[in-house]
Amino acid sequence: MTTLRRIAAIGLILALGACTTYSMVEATKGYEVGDAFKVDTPIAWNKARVHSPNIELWTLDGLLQTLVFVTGVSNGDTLFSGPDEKKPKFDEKSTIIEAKAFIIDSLLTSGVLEYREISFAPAKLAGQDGFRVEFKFTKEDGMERRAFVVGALKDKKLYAIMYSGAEIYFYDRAKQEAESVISSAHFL
Amino acid sequence: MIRPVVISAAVASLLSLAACQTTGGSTTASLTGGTPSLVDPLDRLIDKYETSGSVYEIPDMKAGVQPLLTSDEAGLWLMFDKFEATAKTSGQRLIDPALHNYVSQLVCKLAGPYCPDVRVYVMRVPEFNASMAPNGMMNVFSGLLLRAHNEAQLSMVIGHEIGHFVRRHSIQRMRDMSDKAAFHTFFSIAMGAVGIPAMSDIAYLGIMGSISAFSRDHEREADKFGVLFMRDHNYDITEGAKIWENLIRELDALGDDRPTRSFFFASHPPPDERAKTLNLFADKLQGPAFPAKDNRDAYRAVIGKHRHWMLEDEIRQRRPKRTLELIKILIADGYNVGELKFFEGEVYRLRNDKDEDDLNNAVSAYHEAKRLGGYPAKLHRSLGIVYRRLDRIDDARDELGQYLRLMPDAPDAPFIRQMLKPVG
Repeated sequence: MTTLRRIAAIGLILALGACTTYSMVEATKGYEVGDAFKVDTPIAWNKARVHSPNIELWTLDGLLQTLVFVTGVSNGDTLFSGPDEKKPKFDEKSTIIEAKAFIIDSLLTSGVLEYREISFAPAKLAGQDGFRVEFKFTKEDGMERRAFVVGALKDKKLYAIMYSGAEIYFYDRAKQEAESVISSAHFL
Repeated sequence: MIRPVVISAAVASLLSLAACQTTGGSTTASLTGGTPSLVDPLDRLIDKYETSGSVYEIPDMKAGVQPLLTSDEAGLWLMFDKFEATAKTSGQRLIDPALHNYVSQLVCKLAGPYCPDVRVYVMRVPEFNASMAPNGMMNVFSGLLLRAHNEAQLSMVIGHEIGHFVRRHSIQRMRDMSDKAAFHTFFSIAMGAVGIPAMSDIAYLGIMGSISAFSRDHEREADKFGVLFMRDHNYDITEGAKIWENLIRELDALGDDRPTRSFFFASHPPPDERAKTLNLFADKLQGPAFPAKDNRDAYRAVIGKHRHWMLEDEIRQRRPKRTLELIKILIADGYNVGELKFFEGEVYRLRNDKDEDDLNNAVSAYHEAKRLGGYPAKLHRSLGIVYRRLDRIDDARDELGQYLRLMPDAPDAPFIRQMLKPVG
């Protein structure tokens, strides 16, 4: 292998490693999430840089626990950005039931394969009437995951926070901290 | 040196094609490294069939025999053993015992002496497909089970896949690609040496086209085997053509959105060619006295219980034109039309295209479902939501109220009650 090829190979590895960048969210109060929420977190999280304008993603052990903030989906927007035209689009006239279906359908068109609902009930997000849905799901890797989403509609936009984790060990490990973040949320 | 794009294309082709079809072999080669034959023409295949009296006498691949570990074929099998380990724990795998047993038993019946060599994985993938790996791993997609109307139609596709296996098509294809890649390498060096390297690109195009044509021939031969397996088990061969004709209707419904097809590189014969050929087979092999069966009742008894979630999966594909055509095809088959009309309404409701008057189309479909019966209680919720959007507040109230009466403990009942307050 020539020196030039070695440099190119190292450059490629470095570039791939840089595809996902993380920054630290320290245990703090009043942390601003996008233009949507202010939250308190009792523990530190890793904040991943994602390319969806309506999403902020926090992780703990890689992607074994994630906290996804949906920071205001407008009429006609998809939940996750990307080239897939099949992704559901949000309708500002949605009822709470349709808003929840929009989130679940968005997950199901973004890699979630099997979805089993555990509960669906009224709840408040940042003081706004909304819903809480808990479920289990699997992706292509076959790993069973558990999650809950607390969401609400405000000013014709959809806001939500979703916590998920691998069913075995990881989900329970940070559930309380995730609940704490969600219950502290208020709109900016 | 061979161009990276050629290598990448060859590897990608090998992986995708081998995973999509199965092995084949000649009437003389053994599984000990012999060279499998090319495909048999239809007449010769049918002659062999009629002479031997059984489709299982045609392939030379010995049931229960594995390739020698030193052979290239063994390498191919080992590669697919790894894929199979992934399939076993895949989140897409369906483990419902009744569904799995039904499909497995059908595969076993059609595979005859090869039954112990084939392992079936029913996968939750909402596409029209099944696949056969050279090591005996067969994947059957839920989208195929949704589209087949009866056991005869499913037998055609499964028989086709078994045909790939018993004729060892994958190893033929791997060797063909290997030979052609080697030829391209030699040709590129030679052309470069004489100062016309651009000829290498032309050769590459020729080779890729040749690989695709080889693959199409395998598909045609596998179709013939599908038909012969059907014939051996008295299935109505005309049903084999129908499943392709229905797929053509689905694709045609896409209109300008229909995926463009490169004939030159296509690895499968076009669906219309397959339907036409299968009808010819039916004419040749199935006279009026043939005791053809389709076993639709047995098929519906098993698949019917799963059709609801299969249709939900189909709707999530967000291809409303195609899904509406599929539903129309299923309605013509006549099984639980009320359920189908509900899903037709769901497609319109979710598309909500004002130019197509989708909300009113949804209302019509839901009402037809109500007239026919067999629809889920959530129809009333959907209809109530549509009425709400159409500002038909009293009608919305009636339907949502009916939903609450039928499903008082539904998880979303509290939300429906909330909705009823402002409506009133």
